Amino acid sequence: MKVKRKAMNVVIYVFVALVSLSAIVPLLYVLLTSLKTSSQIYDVNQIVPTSLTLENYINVLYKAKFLTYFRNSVIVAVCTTVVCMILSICAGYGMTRYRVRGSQKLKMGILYTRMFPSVLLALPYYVIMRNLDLGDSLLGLILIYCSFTLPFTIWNMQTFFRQLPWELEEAACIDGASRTTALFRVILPMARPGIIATGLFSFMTCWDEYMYANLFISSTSKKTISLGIQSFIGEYSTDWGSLMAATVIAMVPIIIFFVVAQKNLVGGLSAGAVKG
Amino acid sequence: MKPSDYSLKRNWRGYLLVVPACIAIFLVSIYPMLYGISLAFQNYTLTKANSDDFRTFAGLKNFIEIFKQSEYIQACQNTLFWTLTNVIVQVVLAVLIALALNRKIKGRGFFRTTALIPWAVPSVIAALTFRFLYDANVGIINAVLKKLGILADGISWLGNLETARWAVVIESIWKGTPFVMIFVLAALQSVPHEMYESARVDGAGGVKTFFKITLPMIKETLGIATILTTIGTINNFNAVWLMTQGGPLGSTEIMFTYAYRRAFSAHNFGQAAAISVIMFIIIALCTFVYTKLIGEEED
Repeated sequence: MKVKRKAMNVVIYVFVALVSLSAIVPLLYVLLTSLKTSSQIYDVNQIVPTSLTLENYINVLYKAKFLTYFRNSVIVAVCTTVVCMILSICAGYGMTRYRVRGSQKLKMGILYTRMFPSVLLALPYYVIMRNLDLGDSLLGLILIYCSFTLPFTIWNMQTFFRQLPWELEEAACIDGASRTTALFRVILPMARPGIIATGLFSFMTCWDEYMYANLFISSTSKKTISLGIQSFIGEYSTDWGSLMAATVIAMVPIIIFFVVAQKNLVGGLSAGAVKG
Repeated sequence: MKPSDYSLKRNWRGYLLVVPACIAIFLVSIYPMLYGISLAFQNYTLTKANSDDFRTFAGLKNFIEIFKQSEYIQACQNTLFWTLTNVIVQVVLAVLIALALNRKIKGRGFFRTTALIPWAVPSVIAALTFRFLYDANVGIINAVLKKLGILADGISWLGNLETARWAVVIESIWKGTPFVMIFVLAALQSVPHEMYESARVDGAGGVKTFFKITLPMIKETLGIATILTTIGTINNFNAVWLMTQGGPLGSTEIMFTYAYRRAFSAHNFGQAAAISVIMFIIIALCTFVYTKLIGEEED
């Protein structure tokens, strides 16, 4: 029995170690490649390089328009997130705090809009953007990004607000606080983890969006980061070193979020998805 | 707390708060979607914008025409393969990983965090990373195989007819499994410890305990995670497009990428919309099951 248990433990450790390795190794290799010269990248004997260089990063940051792409992505992701969060905090609070006819139906309807295949929206948007003359603009992109961000944030905020202990608001009101004071002093602080998690998710989805950006953005000065990365892939040759350096830089905000708010993100994700 | 009646007089503030979000959802989501669905029933080919039948009612013509295209049939079969392999492997793997990470092992926090990393990596970056790893000249897979003397020349894993679809599936599994794992792990942590204790007292082995106790306890969560993964996989444009664009010879083309191609290469919006509507129906059915599952959780 004891031997069997030990054997089982070994199997589990090996399995878990393999899972962790396969999760990290691809990314470590990207990092490693971003620090190689182009001849090292093609050299089988330099899988683990004998010397490192920052040449690719310098190339990406100073020669390519990467900072512009980075800035555009930040603008689009932040604007979309702020607009959607304001709308959905209001809606979430309104739906939980008051009796609004049809809110449950509304919520289920929103769920369906969350699941649309985006190609179904890409077609009409192609026509709409041309008519509104918003084709090659960040504003147009922000509008489109709201189409998948907003249903998600409304759903999540409503779920978070419903899980809050509303008795505390009542107690605050009995103690003489106005409803507005109670909202800002009691309810919003309690909802903060949910608000942060939802906001970060929304930022991350916008940061990662590729299809719409690829369809609507054509000028270099308006490209977002997911498009900008592609510029290192040529038709005949690819600048792998720069591509990998760009990849690493594009991951910086995501890594920061993950390190700072991992528990929050993970908890927020499962809470928002399993409760109706 | 909540007033018990729905009267407008007592709840006008609530309506005032909800209405802006509703208008916004209608403008950015519902109206374009209805517009998109209407395109499926129109003759809408952008390159023929001057012809007489442009924007006229087409009935079911677009639907009939796509089913005559062998590329579309292939894309449907590929979507089935793509979704099934992804969902089955991801769910099974996620359960195994979650079971292992739910045990009291040394370095559990570290292993849990690292196992989650692929989930946090943006999908564009994940696709490009794997494109790099698979590359015939610079990819690590070929480099290692060449170094070990197994291969003389590098194989283009994404350009090869036999390997491309599996290569894309592997990337998608790498990226998607942690998401399912998060759900399963959360569900496992809510199983009361005493249930395992009593099973052990009864002499039940590990496998038996899993099927008799663990599985029934996590079955709703597993259902939810499966549905969400199914929807996510059908909608996963980035992985396919950024690695193979549906090639070689359409071997990795899924319905999504085919619809995209019909729209933005062939400029036939009517047919693209017809394919999208079919996808939407499939996804709506999945969503319906999902609402039933989360409804049950609530009680």
